[in-house]
Amino acid sequence: MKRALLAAALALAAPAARAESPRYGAFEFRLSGYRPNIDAEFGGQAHPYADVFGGGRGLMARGALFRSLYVGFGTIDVGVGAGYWEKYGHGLLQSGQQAADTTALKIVPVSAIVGYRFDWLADQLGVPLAPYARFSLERYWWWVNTGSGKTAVYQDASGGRAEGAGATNGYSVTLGLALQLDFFDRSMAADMDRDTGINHTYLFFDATRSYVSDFHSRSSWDLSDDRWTLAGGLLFVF
Amino acid sequence: MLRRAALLWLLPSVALAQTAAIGTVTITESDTDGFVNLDECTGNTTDNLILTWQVGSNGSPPITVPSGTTVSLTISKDAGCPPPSTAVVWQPATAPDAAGSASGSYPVSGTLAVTTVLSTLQLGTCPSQAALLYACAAMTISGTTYSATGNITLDTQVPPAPTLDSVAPGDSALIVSYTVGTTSTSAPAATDHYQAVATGPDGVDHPSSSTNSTSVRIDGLANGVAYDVVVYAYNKAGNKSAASNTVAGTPEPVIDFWEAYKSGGGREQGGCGAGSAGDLAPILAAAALALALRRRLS
Repeated sequence: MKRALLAAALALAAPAARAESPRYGAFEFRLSGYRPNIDAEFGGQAHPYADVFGGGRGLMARGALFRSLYVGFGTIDVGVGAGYWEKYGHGLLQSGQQAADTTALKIVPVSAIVGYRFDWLADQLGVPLAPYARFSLERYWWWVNTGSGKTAVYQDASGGRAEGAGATNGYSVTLGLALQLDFFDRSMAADMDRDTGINHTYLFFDATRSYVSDFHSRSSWDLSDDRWTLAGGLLFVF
Repeated sequence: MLRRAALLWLLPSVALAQTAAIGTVTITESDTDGFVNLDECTGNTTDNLILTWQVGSNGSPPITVPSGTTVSLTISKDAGCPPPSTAVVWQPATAPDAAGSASGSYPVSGTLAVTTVLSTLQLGTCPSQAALLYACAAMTISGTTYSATGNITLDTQVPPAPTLDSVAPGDSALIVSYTVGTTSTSAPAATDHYQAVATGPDGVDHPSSSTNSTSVRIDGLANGVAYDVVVYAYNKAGNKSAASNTVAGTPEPVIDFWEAYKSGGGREQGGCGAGSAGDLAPILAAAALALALRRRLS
C-alpha cells in the first residue's frame, strides 16, 4: 500500500520537463452567467430590469488572446478579450401588463487584461494545478432593442431624447484555478505541441468581481454583475 | 430470301441513325424562383421560360456545327424528346451560327411566355397538379442527332389556409400567431411560409414580411386603430392558400426596457459618449506604449 502511494506521489511530482516549442501567449474561451446590476441605482423603489427581464441570469460567452511578457516563475500575460451577452424580455403595456412585444438588452464586453498564472509547479514538477489572478479594464458596448428590432429611444416630457445605446467602462478582478489537462495524457499533449504549437491546455474555473459603472459615475448605470461571476472555460497556451 | 432482302434494306438506316447526348438544357424563368406556379399559369404574374442549350459543354470532342444547321427547342409534358409533331410546344428552328460554322461551347436559347407554353400544352386551365415539364434540344449533323434534355416543375397546388390563433397588440404593430392548416384534396400542398396582412378601416393592406415561423409581427401600423388580420400560407412554388379566419387587433403603445428604465428615473444618458467612456483611451494608450517599449528593449 505504501509502495503504491509512493508511486502515485512520484508520478504526480514527476518533472513535466519535455522539449517544448517556444511560448508566445495564450487564448481562451469562457462561459459564465451574467445579470447586470441595473436595478441597484433605484434603491428598491423601482426595478425596471426585473420587471422586463425577470430574475434569471443570461449566458455570456467571451474569448481572449494573450501575449506572454514573462515566462519563468509563473507567467505574466497581457491580452485583449471580447464577448457577447443578450437578454430578451417583454415590454409593458400602459396598464402595466406584459405586452406581446419583445424588448432586448444586448452587450458586447471588451477588455484589456493583465494576469499572472502560477504554472511553475505544472511546468517543472508536474503538479497539474495553476492558480491565477487577473485585472481587467472593461468597456461594455450596449444597446436596447424595441419589438421592431430598432434601437430604443426615450423622449421625456420636455422633448429631450436619449438613445438606448452606448458604452460603459469599468474594471474587474478575477481569481481562478486552472487544471492542466496535459497531466491526463502527456504523450498526446506533446503531439499537440509538435503539430499545432499549443504547449499546454487548461480547464479553468474562476470568480470575477466586476465594477462597470463608468468608475462609479453618477450619470451611468451599473452594468457590473449583481454578484461574483463564476466562469469556466479552456485556455490554450502556445 | 425475302427476309434477307428486308434485313439488307434496314441495315444501312440502322447504322446511320446515330444519336449522342451532349450537355443539358437549362430552363430558367424571368422570376428565377425555379417553379411555374399558379399565378404564372393563370397569367396573374407575367413570366417567361428561357431554354438554353450550351452546345458542346459536355461534348468530347467539341462538335462543329455547320452554318444553317437547324436546332429544335421543344417543351413537352412527356420525357424523352418526343418528335416536334408530338412535342406540344415547339420553338422554331434556330441557326446556331448564321455567319459560318461554329465549334466548341456556345449557347442556343429560346424564350417563350409561360402562358403560351401552357396554353399549347393544353394546361391553360391550370388544373391542380405538380408535374414536370420537359425540355428538349436537338440538331442533326451528318446523320448524327445531337440532343440534350432538361426540366422544370409546374406546380399549381395550393396549401391549406392556416388557422389564426391570436392577434396581440404591439407598439405600432400587431403580433400574429397561427397554426398550419390541414391538407386536403383541394389544398394538398405542404406549407412553406406564411404572410399576415392587416387591413385598416381605410381598406389599405399592411402585409408582414414572409416567414416560416408560426408568429409574425406586422409593423407600420397606427396605435389605437383597429385592423382586421388574416394569414396566408404559401407552398414552395409560391402558391397562396385561401385566407385564414379573420381576427381584429388594435396596436397600442408598449414601454420597452429603455423607456421603463428612463421613466423610472434611471440616470444613464445613453449615446456613444456615455459616462466617462473616454477615460479608457489613455489607459489603453499607456498599455500599448508599455508593449511597444518592451518590444524595443527585448
